[in-house]
Amino acid sequence: MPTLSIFTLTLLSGILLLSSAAMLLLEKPIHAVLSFLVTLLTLAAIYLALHAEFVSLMQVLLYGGAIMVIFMFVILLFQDISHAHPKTQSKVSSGCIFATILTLLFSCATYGMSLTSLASPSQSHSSVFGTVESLGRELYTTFFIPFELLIPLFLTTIVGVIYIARRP
Amino acid sequence: MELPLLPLVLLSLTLFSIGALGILLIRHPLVLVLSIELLLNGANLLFVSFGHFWGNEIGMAWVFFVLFIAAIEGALGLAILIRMFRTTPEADIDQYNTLGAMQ
Repeated sequence: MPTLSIFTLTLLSGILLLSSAAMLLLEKPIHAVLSFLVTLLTLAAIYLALHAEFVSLMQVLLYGGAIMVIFMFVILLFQDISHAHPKTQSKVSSGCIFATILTLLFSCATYGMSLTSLASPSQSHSSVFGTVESLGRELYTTFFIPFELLIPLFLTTIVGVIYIARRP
Repeated sequence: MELPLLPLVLLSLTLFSIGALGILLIRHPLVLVLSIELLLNGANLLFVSFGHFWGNEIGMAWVFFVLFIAAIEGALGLAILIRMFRTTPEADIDQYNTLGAMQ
């Protein structure tokens, strides 16, 4: 399992920030969805380097596969809407104010947590850390009830989505 | 050489901020739903970083749940969008200002 070097992290962070900013700046929704896909795959690479194999796999399968397909379907169904993109500049000033407040809050929180003093990562991980096997064991023992509760949640979602999206 | 935690935390905070800005600034409904997904991804990155840092898999288990909730949220949000596109074919979220348009 590769460890994440500073250079790799810088490269991946650059791709991540560029693609997520492009998601907001690009004109057409299809381009936004595709740049979001790049964001997701870069995140999957970062997870893989952080010894989270199973999460990385799920990121590619669930996000890069399932959720992106739903987005593509909506764009396909409503092509005329997908072309129009009314971007107004009127909200930019309020957005800048909000971004400043958010940055201040986050920096206060990060400073308060004194993360820099934690900067020596822990023990070496065991060889099964983050694999399907060990995480699956965790899910079926510690998180058994929440995991089983996901199933009725999915069923309810299916019924609800069909009810909402049906033709009146 | 192992990596310090701080860059990963800052990266996830930046992702979260970009998502929040997208929700506020972009008026296309599809990009709105994408921005919400970006918020969830920022939180996920934080979970995985701390899980890696402490050598603990509970954070990854929570990421698993967040992934499934994100799938549910995406499906429901897009179903609502389809319904709204049918009644009010506008690509501007400000046009959807009444629940009566959805009946």
